[in-house]
Amino acid sequence: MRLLRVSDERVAERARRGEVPGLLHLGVGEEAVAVGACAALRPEDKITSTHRAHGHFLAKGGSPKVLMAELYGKEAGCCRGKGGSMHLVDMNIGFLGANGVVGAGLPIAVGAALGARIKGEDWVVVCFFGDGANNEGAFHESLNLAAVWNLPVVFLCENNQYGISQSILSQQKVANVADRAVSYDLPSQIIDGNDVLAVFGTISKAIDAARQGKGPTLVECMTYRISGHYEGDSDAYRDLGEVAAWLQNDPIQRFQDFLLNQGVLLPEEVESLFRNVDTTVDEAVAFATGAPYPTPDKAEKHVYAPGKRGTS
Amino acid sequence: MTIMTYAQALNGAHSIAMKDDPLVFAIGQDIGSYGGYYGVTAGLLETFGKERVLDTPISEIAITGASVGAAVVGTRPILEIGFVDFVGTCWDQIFNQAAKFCYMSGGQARVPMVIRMACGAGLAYGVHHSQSLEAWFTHIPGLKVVMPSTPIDAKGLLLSAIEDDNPVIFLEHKFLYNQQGEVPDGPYRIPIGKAHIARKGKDVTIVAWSRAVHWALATAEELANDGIDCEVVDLRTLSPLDEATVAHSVEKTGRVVVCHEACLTGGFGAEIVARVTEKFFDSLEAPPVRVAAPDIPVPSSRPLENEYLRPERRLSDAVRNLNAVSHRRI
Amino acid sequence: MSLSAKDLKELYRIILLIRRFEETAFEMALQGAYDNYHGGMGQEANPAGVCYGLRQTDRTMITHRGLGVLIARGVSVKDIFAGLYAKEESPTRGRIPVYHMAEPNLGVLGGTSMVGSVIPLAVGSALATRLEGKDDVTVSFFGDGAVNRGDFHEGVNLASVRKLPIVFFCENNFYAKSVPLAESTAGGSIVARAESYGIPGECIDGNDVIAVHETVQTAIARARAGEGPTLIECETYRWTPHSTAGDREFARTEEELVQWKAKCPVLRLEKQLLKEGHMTEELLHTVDEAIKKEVTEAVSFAEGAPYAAADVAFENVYV
Repeated sequence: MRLLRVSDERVAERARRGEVPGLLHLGVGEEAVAVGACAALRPEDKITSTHRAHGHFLAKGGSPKVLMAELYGKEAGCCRGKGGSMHLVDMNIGFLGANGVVGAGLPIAVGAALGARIKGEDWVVVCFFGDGANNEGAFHESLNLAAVWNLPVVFLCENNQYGISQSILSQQKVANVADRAVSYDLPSQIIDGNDVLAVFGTISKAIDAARQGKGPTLVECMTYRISGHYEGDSDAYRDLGEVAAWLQNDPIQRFQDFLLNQGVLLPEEVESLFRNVDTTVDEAVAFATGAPYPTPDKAEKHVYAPGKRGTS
Repeated sequence: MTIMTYAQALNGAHSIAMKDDPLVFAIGQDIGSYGGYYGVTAGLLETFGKERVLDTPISEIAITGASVGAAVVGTRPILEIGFVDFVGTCWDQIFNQAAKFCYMSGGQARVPMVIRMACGAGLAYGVHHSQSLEAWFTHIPGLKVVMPSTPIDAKGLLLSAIEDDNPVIFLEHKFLYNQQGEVPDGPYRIPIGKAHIARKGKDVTIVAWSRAVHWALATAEELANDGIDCEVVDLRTLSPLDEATVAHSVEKTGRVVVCHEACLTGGFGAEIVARVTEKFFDSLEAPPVRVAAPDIPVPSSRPLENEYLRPERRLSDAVRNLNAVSHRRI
Repeated sequence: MSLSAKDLKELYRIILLIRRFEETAFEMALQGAYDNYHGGMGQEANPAGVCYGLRQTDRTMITHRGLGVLIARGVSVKDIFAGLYAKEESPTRGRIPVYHMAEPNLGVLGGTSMVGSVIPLAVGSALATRLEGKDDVTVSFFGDGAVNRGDFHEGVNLASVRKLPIVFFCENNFYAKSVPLAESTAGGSIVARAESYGIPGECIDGNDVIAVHETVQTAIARARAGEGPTLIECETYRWTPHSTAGDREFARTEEELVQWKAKCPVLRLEKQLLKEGHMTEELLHTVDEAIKKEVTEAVSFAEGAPYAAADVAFENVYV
């Protein structure tokens, strides 16, 4: 979680210096959701993500260097500089795409689960989406289809209370995304998304159920983004008091306190861990800043896949 | 070789591809026991079972997106969307997701899916069941766009499309489903990106695709009686366009008419005329001509629909007039 | 609105008119007068029950199977047949399928071909009513197939969060063309979905025209009072195939059809009228004869009417 936090904070800082181009949607405050969920996955399991993808990418096992290089637009990035922040893909770790279109990842996740069935594989797909996405037609069609076909997908709603500037209750009548589950006769749960162990425990159970052929679950993780919607957002639509209150609920601080209390972690280990993370992120930034940009001719590559049936 | 309909030829391609590769599957509304809107998937459910012939709810976003996701993880969906007019309901999953996945992932991911849709007017089905929208798809890098005009091409191109690792938009004119033709029984391929000279000629080139190819051939036969020898180029694939074949024909005849059923403005004919003019201007003896439907929604009353379909009637005069234009001074 | 004897007789006239229309429309399609007809025989209680008592300023949007709604709202069978035959002397001027017909004076806003896509349009109509400061209501008709469309979800959500004056009316005939409800709709229940939007839902016998009417009137009263939408699921059945365009029925059985024909909505109302003494056999016959005459004349008119001239195809592309 600390890695996710520092990485995003560093990206923000570098963006302010003009080094990282484009629209960056940071996940500061939401780390427990990504880390708790991905900790429950096997390497062959897949995830789909959103425009707020950096945390999911790292939590799924993505390389911080390769992430940073991609954000910088360098050829050494996971997408050779072509995807950027909202379109990260890493097939090696089962990261089936961040997405610039709200809700577009849900049908793709359903398809990846369908693919498991067709191929006779037992991977599960965890589909991350935000509270805003639950009002998209794609949400409805995807949950219905996954439920009626009993597919191995876990729908994980990262409810950070806002779709850009609009709070959830201005967008829907029911208070929770989990309330939608009754439409599809799906099991659902609402959990504290800032409690990484709660996330891990709940998603583990949902994944097991999916793997055993019991179909999808809708899990709503209540959390909050400390960052603005995007880096540079005035954030004027949020009450400072609200932000301050959630700062007291920091998922990293909570887990840190827990580990210290349990004696699993010692204070000096925390120091050392933080230093290691800083080093990792420093190295990632150094890697990214030093890596070359793709040459202009690369713009026309990869529009189409060459060949047929998986040939190169 | 067997004489069969266009729909049967497509059915044959499904059977061969699905027998050959257990990861090929068919998905769409009413494609199971119903056999698809046009009978293209008839019998497949009995042969391949429910796990490979998937009837779906009316959920175009989900089924198109699911086809993308299933393709990304290594299966090969053949998706049927009954009418191209409905593509708006799932457009994002096609032009933003399927088309861009390979590129945005830097080549890591492939989306080997086929999206089959029926297009075209002539059955009085009205505004939402009669359009030709191929131009939309050709505008999107990352998509391939195929429009076979005969049963033999339909089967061969569908087999190629299924095998292609890119998303292929496969457009079938409704009028052609019952058209009969000779088709090889076993597997064969018609390459994507290769046009076909449906009729050799030396005086005027008619470039067409899908149903308009038949209009072009009928026109050519009519005009042969008047000593006008037309060459008919059936594009078969719109994207990637086989420029070389078109160029070779234009260089030979110096006169080109492009005929399509879709509305004139922004139709794919504009792209062909632009390329011919930009690149092969010196071969031209007269300005290129387009013959297409007027810019109107498709009416359902037959006489009004016939007005929409006037390219069929106007093609012959357009070719005749172009042929009569004096040679340019060198 | 409780129904007086006069109301019941008028309701009977409407439901019988829709029935006779549907019988003839289907028959003419089979004879080749026009193609791709989506018959509504068996489902007449829905348009009749919903539309009876609507103001002319209330609005309805329909499905491809919704011609009964047009009749119930006061469009003449003459106009509808002229439209089916694609002749100029129809509100459609022969240019569009009849279910796309709009007659704003009668509160008819037309329908679309993309299943479910009419729902957001109907929500827009309700939004406009709100902006106009009126208490008119919009009724959005759709079938069971539409409830799995994203349009349903987005439309119902928007209407519920804004408490718009709309009634979502689902004619559940258990089949979306060839796909049975159980294979397409997770949970198997349409009315259950109301809860997930925080709105009330009702599931009723869609072949009981009085039950349809009363349930819809309650929902309309809620909507007029500013309390927002209701989702109504009406269980019913179509007696004819999805459409006359070469349809092949596999999933539905003869046995199932027979069971539903026994619940004929027209006969049920007829029996009630006779039992309660509102009508006699003789009067029923008189009404029927008048209706049959109206329908026969409408067909003759349509057959003889001219097509529109070609330039009509070019009108109204833009305002």
